[in-house]
Amino acid sequence: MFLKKLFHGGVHPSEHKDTSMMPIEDFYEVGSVLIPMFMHIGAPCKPLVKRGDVVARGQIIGEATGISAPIHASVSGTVKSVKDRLLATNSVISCVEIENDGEMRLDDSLKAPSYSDRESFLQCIRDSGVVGLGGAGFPTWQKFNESKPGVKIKTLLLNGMECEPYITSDHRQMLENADLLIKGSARLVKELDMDRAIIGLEDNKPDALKVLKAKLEELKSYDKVDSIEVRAFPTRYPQGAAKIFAYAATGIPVPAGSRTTDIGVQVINVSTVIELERYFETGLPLVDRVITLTGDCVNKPGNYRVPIGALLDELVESLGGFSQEPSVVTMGGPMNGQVLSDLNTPIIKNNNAILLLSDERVDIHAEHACIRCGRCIEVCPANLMPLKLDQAARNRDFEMLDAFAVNNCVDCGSCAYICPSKRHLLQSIKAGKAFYRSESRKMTAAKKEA
Amino acid sequence: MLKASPNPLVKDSDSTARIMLIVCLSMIPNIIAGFLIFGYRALILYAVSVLTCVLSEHVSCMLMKKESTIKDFSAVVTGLLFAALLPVGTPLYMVIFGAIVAIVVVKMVFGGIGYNFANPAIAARIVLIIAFPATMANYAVLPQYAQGSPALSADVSNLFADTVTSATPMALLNDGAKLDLLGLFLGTHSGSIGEVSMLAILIGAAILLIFGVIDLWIPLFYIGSTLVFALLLGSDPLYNLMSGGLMLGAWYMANDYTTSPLTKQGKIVYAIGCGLITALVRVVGFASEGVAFAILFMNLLTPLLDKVFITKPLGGVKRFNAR
Repeated sequence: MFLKKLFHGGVHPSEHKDTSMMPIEDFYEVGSVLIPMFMHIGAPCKPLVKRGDVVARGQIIGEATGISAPIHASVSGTVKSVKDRLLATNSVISCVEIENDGEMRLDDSLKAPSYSDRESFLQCIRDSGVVGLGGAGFPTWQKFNESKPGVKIKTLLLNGMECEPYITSDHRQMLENADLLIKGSARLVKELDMDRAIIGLEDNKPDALKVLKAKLEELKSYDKVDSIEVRAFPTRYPQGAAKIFAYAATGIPVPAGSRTTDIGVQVINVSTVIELERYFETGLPLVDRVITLTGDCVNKPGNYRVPIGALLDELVESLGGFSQEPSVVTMGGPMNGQVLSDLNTPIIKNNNAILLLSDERVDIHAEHACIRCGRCIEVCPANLMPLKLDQAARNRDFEMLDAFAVNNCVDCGSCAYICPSKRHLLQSIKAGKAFYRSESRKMTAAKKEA
Repeated sequence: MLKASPNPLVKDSDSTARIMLIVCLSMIPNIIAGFLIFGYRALILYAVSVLTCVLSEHVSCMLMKKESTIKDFSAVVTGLLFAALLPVGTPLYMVIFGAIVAIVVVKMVFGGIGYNFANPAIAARIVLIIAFPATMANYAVLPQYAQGSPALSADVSNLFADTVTSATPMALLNDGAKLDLLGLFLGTHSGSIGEVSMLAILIGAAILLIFGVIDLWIPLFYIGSTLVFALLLGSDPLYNLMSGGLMLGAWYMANDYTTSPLTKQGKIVYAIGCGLITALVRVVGFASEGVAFAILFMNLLTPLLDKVFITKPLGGVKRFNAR
């Protein structure tokens, strides 16, 4: 099947999705877990336990205030410490360390939640501790809580694109938990009063497409399942970026400075919906997640369901060990993941993959001068001119950043991927965007005062 | 010890050096054609020009205390293209002078690769034309160098006879003479060593297209508009297509990344501008150098075109307004 690409530009890096045929394996035999009290966008959680406390799996240990999501113990055992730590993501975060007693004893109070209206439904989502599992980590309840006045969210887009190389955790989730995905989508459509849901995945996952279509047929008697559609999209990075997915699926561009909700579209990752539906059915909050552990430095690449807070070095050692010393380790994919500074770091909620790569698999280059070949313009999915933004960002030229619409950048890095001069376009444009935003805030504040 | 790097960690395998190397390789048919038509002196011109360009870029970088950029092969490209624009009889000191102008004055002084204000080869050729008008208009082949060229040896048919002595096709065109199309296509006539063979240039262009180094917008619109404007001005479009520097200019010079606009719209306007000026110089003006002047002029307009023709961001632009 040949599909026409649905957005401008994009790139197609080597997929390396070697783990796509490997079923999800549960792995809970960890010695201890280190659970950061901040694994989402918003406010950090306040630890509710102290050293010496005995906790059960699923018990709340981090209290959320404001825009946040509660955090739960992922294993049963004793709290060894609660203290600030420097994590490999290069931030200092308060972490609860729990020694695993190996019993996986569940918290007694866990039960499938009940709700009566939109408010209580959103409260349930909040209690589940679920955040965007695709990488963003935005609290899911807040996602549905906020919308522009007067704009009704009509379409739920379920993001199963997984356009980053290497990662297959969403792919496996869709294959193995298709029923949870469809029931979860139906539940969201029903309770949040939406018109339709589209499960979007790239055409490099034909098996998942087939399974989902069959499951849709099987579950069609369920309420609202008839409003769900499964749709294949041509494989093209960055189709998983929310704004690009929304555009590819609806044909409506998200206006500059707006979110997808402003065009009546809510984008949510498929694994997020699966884990949310698991909560609605069992009452077990988000305490573990599926990650793809892969790269050319591990003996046993695969997809694993692991407790949140499991330490990376312990995981790799227990799951087959290192085949060679990695030179780069990332949380997330090679295009837009987070590069880690060491291996002694916990798996967090929004961590869909860990890649352990040798020098052969990564391209680290010095920058050269821009030759104005224009390839960055050709691949920019937002139809921007990255070379101009790069120049503006380096010169801290507010006017130019403004004129070339730095705010429309979706941070996909396609420009930096294609650049023959190996310019660090993503890095400089991100810095330019941060500069632009802080300057505009300052100027707006100054105007208000005047 | 883990390494850190800005994202993305994987990159396309293409690089500036590879792009430049492909341009060099695509010139090989043209270099061979130059040798067959004009003799081994064509090779000497290419060699001297390339060596001077590479050396002057290296020395410039040393003087500016910058890392040498000769490894990106762009100086080799400039050397090849500059030599391609020269008559075979150009004295070597002029070649050296022109190559230094191309690299030092046009490219390095303005910041090196990516910052030259005009195509270095074109600008250097224009400098030579102004400095040494008589020599640069003399396309005669020096007899002592003609030996060894199969095309020029006496045994080969008379088809090539005029090469040694005659005026260029562009000059003939203005005199209203009739030209031999096959000769024009193969390049067996007088002219600059890299401009004469349409066949060799088209092979090179095909290589550039296959490797994705160039796109079609500038060459097609440049050639197309030159023909249309020539027709409108009453000149035979076919001869305009096949003679003079149009082919080399359109495929190798006008679409130089640094000195042509970035967006499709900009490229089209730029190319049509090149075509208009080429036709005007050829038909209304003094016949030769239409291509060089057209490209130089449009090079200088490129920053302006880049201001006017920018992309339309997805989702529109929301300008900051503090009020």
